Amino acid sequence: MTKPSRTLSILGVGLLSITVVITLVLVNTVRFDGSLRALFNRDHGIYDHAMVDRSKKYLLNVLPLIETLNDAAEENSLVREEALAQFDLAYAYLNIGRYLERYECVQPALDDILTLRDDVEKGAKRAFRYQIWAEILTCYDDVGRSQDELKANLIERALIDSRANQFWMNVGVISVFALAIMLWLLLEIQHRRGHKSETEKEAWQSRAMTDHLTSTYNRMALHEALESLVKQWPVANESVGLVFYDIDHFKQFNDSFGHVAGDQALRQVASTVNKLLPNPSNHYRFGGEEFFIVNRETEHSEVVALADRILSAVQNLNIENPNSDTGMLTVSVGVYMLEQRDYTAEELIMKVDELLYVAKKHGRNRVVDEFTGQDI
Amino acid sequence: MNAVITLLSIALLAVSQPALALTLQYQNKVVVFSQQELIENRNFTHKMYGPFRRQEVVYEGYDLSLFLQQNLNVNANTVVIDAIDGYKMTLKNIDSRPLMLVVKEDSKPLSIREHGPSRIIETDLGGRDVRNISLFDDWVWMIKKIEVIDD
Repeated sequence: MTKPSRTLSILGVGLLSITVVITLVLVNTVRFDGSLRALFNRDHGIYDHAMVDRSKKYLLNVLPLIETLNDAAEENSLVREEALAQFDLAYAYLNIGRYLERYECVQPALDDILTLRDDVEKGAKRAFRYQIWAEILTCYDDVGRSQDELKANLIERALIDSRANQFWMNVGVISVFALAIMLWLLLEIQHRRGHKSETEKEAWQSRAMTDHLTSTYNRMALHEALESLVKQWPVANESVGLVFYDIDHFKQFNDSFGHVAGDQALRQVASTVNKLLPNPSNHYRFGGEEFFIVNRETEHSEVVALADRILSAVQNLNIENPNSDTGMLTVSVGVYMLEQRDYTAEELIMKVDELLYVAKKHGRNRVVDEFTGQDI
Repeated sequence: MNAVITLLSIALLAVSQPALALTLQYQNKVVVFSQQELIENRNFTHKMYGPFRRQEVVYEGYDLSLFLQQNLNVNANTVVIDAIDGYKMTLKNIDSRPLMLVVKEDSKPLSIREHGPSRIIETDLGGRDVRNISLFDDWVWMIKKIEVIDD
């Protein structure tokens, strides 16, 4: 399973928080905006308070028309019709369910308008009805004032609601951030645990695959490497050479100088050979004084040259070994290049071991590959 | 002064003639209905809460789209409405909205005093708050003329 990216997790949490906060702000803004729109909607300017004002305006339009009718010597039916129409419009804009339901003065005012209209319609010239006009105009003022108070109350309520919204929005924003931080902490803890576990696993695997004396890979690692190699082989189009080397007369060396000196010699040889290895090559301790090298992407001549350098380098360590023909510690080396056919891991070991055996049999301190092996 | 008022009255009455009638227009085609004709031929009834009346009301009249289609032979989408009080407004998408032309309310013909002689209402309140009458801007009162216009 792919390990989730740490940066992506933090980015994800950050983006999530920002998205939630922006959404909260937008939702609250839209809600508040919507309630304000409902309160202040004046697109057409004829409702609520505006209606009582319009009724008043139409009623007042009648006054000069009545004066004209009263002053006229003859009947002027057009002016009369217009006066009646203005009365009707005044009546219509006061005849609103909300006004009738809320204000007691409205129904009497409507009746008064009809009374005045009746006077004009009948054409009776009579004294100005101050009392009736006063009642109607007072009603207009009461309704207008009450509507203003109502509006003020609604605005105040909207502001209180908006403060409550603001509070809960702040609570929401803080909660979201707290949640995001908690989430980030959890992810961080999980990441650190995973990292620690991974590191421990790698260290454990490394120890399990390493020879503690020479710090080269051990035999188990060699087995796994060869198994992996033969699985890919011969499909993988590369040149692979195996080098198997063994310290000559090492048993006698141990017998002469003791096991501590023997271990020291093993460490020196392994360290020297390590320095000679090109990439990609791996160095394994096969067991005792036997070592194995797997050289990938390396031609035959390069592998043989490496084997020769190992031979010289070990001899140049000048570690005394009385049982050796040269008087110094030496190694024997077998070199085997993989051919284009199927192998098993055991077969590979056997192949190169046979060449090492040939080198041992023919005097030690030498390199033997498939070709030299056939000549000997 | 008297002369001015007289002229003004004549002009106002000329604009609003014939009284309590409805004029339909689409391009050059003009159809005029008397209030009596509108009342007699009504073919649509709808009962619902009337926000301006604050009570359940039985509305009688016409489905606006069908009414225009039948009388002007046009599938109207946008109309310009003139009201007796000088108010004028444009209504769009009327073919996809539940609009009704009302001529009677609770069995009574509408006069100007009841926001008639004809009025447009929406037969679906659409979840709006009926206490807030400013949400019913498209309920046009005292209609004098409906003109269908091309978009």
